[in-house]
Amino acid sequence: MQYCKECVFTPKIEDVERSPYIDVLLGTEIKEISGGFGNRHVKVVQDGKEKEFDVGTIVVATGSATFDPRKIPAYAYGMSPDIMTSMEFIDIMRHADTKGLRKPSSGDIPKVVNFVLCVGSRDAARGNPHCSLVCCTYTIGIAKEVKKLSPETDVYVHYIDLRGPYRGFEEFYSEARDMGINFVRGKVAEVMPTDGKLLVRTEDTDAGVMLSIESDIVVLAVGQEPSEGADRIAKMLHIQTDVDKFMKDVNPMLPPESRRGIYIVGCAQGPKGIRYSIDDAKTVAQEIVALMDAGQISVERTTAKVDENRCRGCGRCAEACVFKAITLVPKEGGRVASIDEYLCEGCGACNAVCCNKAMGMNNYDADQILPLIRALIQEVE
Amino acid sequence: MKEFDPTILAFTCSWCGYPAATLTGVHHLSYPAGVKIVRVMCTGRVDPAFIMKAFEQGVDGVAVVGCRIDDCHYTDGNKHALKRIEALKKLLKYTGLGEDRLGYEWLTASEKGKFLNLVNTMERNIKALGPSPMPKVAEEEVLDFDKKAIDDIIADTGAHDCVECGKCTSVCPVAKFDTSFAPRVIVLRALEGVSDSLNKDRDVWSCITCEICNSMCPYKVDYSGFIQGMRSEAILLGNEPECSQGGLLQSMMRVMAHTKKQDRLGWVPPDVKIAEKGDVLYFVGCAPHLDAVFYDRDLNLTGTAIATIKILNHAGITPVVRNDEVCCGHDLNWAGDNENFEKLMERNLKMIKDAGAKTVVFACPECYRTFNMDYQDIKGDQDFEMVHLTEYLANLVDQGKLDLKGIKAGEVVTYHDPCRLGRHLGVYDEPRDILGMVGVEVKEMANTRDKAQCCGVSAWVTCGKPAKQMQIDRIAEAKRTGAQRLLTMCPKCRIHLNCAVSKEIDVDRSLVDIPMEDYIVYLARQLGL
Repeated sequence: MQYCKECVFTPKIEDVERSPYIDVLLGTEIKEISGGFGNRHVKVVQDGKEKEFDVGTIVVATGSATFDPRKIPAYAYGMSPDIMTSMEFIDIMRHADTKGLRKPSSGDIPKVVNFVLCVGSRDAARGNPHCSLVCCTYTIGIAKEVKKLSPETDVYVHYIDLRGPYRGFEEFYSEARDMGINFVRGKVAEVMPTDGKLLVRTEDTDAGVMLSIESDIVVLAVGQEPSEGADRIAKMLHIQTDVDKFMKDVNPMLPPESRRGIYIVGCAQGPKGIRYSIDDAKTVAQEIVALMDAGQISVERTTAKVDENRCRGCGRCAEACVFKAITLVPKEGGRVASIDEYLCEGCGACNAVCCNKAMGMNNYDADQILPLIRALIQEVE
Repeated sequence: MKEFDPTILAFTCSWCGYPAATLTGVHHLSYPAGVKIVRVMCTGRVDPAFIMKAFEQGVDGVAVVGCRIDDCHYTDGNKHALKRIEALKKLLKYTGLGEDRLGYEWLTASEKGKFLNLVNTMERNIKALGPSPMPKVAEEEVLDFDKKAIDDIIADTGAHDCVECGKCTSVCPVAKFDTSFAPRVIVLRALEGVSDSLNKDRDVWSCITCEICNSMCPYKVDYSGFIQGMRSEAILLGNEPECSQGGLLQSMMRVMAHTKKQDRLGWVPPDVKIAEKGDVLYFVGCAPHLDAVFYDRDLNLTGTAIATIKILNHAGITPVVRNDEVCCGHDLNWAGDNENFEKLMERNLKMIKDAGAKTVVFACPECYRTFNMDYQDIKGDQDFEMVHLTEYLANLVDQGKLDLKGIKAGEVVTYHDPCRLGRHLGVYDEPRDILGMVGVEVKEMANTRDKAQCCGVSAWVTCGKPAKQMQIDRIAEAKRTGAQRLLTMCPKCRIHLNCAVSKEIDVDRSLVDIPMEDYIVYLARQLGL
């Protein structure tokens, strides 16, 4: 049931690199993105050299980073080579088929391996409040591999809840139990390195007993968080970020041609499994092809507008705008509101708060609504 | 008799409210025929002024239908809508229209039942309340230019004495910031009989009627009276003012001119003494209503009314405070709506007669000016005496009936003369004397008494860039005195000055960083009430 990074991505990477239509710029920093819908100008720096492009459509696929377990000192990450993140453990597993599974500090076959789930996830105090969605599934996968490689090793998986809302997950999990993997419900309190061993202290909340497990290897299943620099890209493209700091998709209710020619896919939008990232990419690829194929499109958008003669520059509208589409710009000694039409979603919140009614709106202006009200009342008589 | 079918205006959001209403039709369900749908993108766009305007025009009920709370397609538009609806309900209750006339529902697009339930319940409630007391809207009539009426205004206000010296323009605070505006030119245009200008002349609405020009005019032209007259004519020609808050406040006043059963005294706390009939009547005005309109500004204008009653009680007086009092009509009078102004006047004069009052005490300078000058202009002398609270208190002290002692001497304040109380009515000394009696030192601003700068907005029609500059200037002037706080007497001055600095400003905040407080609330605190 799992999608494996190697078998899915390796052929794709080859295809992309071989394609005459795709330029891959590695080691590149985006400096500036200007222009509007369908006509954007991108400045990048690659190896100290500046390059510029004119583009119509932008796909943001900045992915995610993993949580840094050093932020939770109780898990003693970095104090022993035997405490590692799941990514580091997967690297060890890659070579285990030839060398066998070995404990990094001593080279012995590990007798006990502990997996700690939700490291930095669902933990507002020490990490991120959100669930990273993929950790339960991949951890069970690795745990099973450990059991297959060395059946005599005791494997513990410490979890709060097991979350795997995918087809086949239940069978996948039952199989793991049948193989003898111990699932312990409870949040691990601490990992203590002592005399070449690791002591994992936790409460088994199902049994109601305190456990101190002597362990050879502790694997921390770190969660996903937005990758470094994603916030900078979001700012450049006026993409809103959500409470979990991942990017928000532009209003999904809008048809693709109204979505500003900017698409956000994969983990840039939030924690996601490989399968769902691929689905995202497929959908977006189709929408982009349709959009680019049309060449030129015209879109009628409902947006706010400002009567600069009436505006007092108090900023009430900017405060009311959840899309951050309104800024105050200098004009004739004072300041007036200015609307970024690409950001404005046309809700009209600014219209309602404006004291002097300097704010108006295409299609839903007070000059249109008030006569409508009048006409409706007259019609009844 | 034909049964009354209420007209209900339903503001529906584009995402949930409107589809839910549509779905009733798809399912062949019927809702009352009087329900009329107005579609907006989000209920957060529903301006309170839209609702009040609809009521003003005689609609029987208004419903607001949006997405479920927390499911707004624009994050929290419906939450803001809900806050506004709650504030408006308060206003409907005070004015006597009845809060049941305003309903709301938050639903998903599929919840057609909720929509039906809302409109059916509202229809039932409104049938019980009866039809709206407001006259139904008529076709808007635009009259022709009336040369004689303009000539009368010119004669009444002495405008033909104008020698075009331009002194008015040189002192005008509006002209200072809006160089295209000149009081002299408006007079000149009227004198020349330029008939086609009045129907689109914005200048008649730019004047803030602060009367600084009147006090400077060497030929005593009643400039503000001239503007007042011209505005009434402008309205007849279809030249409407651009009202702040979308005209919500004017609509509220017009509603008050017609409603019967008010619930005006909802704000009165239990620990004060008021009477239904008696010699001394306290005319409250609309401060509690304004609190409902500006619910998000933390102004506590009602505090002024409570403080006034407490001070009167302290002086051993149980003032008459009446439920059948209505707005004095000041803002309608200055916005050119004579018809409703006179309706309000009649109701107030009847109220005072019913109360049997011999003395009417005002705390609000606008109410005082309106009674003292505008009512008298129309109705002649009244058989009751009119005084401002500070005049009344000073008089009591003179007669030895009252001893004012402050509990905290040594504070230094500065006092902003409201144009209505100062230049219009000449009350300058009493507010200062009273502060002196309670041991508070008044530091005067550079422009004070008859030269006091205006708060920038009058009758809710002149809110704009020049107004904001005036307000910032005035507060900066107060700050420069070094006083601990700025006291204002008029609730409007407080709203306007507070508005100017409450959000973004273009000057260094330290220049305008001075606490503002209502004079009467401050006085009550100084008296330990």
